[in-house]
Amino acid sequence: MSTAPIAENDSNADDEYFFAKRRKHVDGGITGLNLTAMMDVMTILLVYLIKVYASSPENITLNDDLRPPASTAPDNVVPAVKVMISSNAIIVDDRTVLQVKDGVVVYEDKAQKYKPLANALYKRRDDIKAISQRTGGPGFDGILMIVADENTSYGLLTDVLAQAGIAQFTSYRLTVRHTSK
Amino acid sequence: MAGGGGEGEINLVPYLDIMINLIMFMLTVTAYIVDIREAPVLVPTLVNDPGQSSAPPEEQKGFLTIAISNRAISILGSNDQIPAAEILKEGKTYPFAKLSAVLRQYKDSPTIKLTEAIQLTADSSIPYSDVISVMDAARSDASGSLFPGIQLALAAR
Repeated sequence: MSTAPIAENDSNADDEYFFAKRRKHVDGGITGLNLTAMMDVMTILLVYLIKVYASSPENITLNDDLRPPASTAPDNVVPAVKVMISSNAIIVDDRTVLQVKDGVVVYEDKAQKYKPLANALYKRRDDIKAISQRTGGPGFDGILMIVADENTSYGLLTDVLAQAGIAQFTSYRLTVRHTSK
Repeated sequence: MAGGGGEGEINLVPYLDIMINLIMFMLTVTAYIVDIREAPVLVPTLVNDPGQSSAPPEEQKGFLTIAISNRAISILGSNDQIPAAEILKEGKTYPFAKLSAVLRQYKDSPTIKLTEAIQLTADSSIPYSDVISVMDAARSDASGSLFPGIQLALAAR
């Protein structure tokens, strides 16, 4: 018997509060946030960030297995056929062609040790030549980008370069993390 | 439009949610983007040798070979007029500043005629990072350019 009037009172108080707020808005108070300016800022930021992200000529994913050494070399990256030498694989244009363990290439037949790498490089060279013949492009320039982990041995690096040389890649560019002196 | 009254508004809140998430994602990604550059290297060829053997003998310049071993960095000349030098490893690292200083002496010497190209070789076990650091030290120092043309030779095994 005593609960109904209390509920009614609460309901009336809520209504009064709501209508008071409505009156205040109608009277010229803050009726809502203008989001247009915020949207402008965000759209400009988004477009800028997408532009920055897309302007990187080569998308190189670095991780613990593939961390290029720091260097003061000033040259910018030029798009080219990419060979990555990580601590556990040799990758030609994002396709793993050889496994590496403890800094040494894993192989079954020593005479054929680097054959998968050589085949992959031959294929890339032939693809580039075929595409440039069909499209009248600039042709095969023989530039090879080497992205190697900083702990890669010099022996493995020169072995990869030797295979690249056999596949007619004659200009090598070593990718590094830029640092000031 | 809403209720046919013409006062309807597009609900921008979901759009803003997407934008904020996208911006946060892109800012996080770009924070991890590393400044990647390239160090061009040459390979020794018979036609374009650093000593310019096709030039007349009096104009022929010598060239340096830098060899990195587990013990030291050795600098060797292509002829008897160029003295050799050796820079010992200090602890676990090579003294790259000393290497630059020694190369500067070669470069500024009035009696030694050198090309701007050098050959670089190393033991097969030498880490790539040390090779790159030697290349940096040989390319330039605080005073300017040293030997910018670096030819990689096969690893000593």
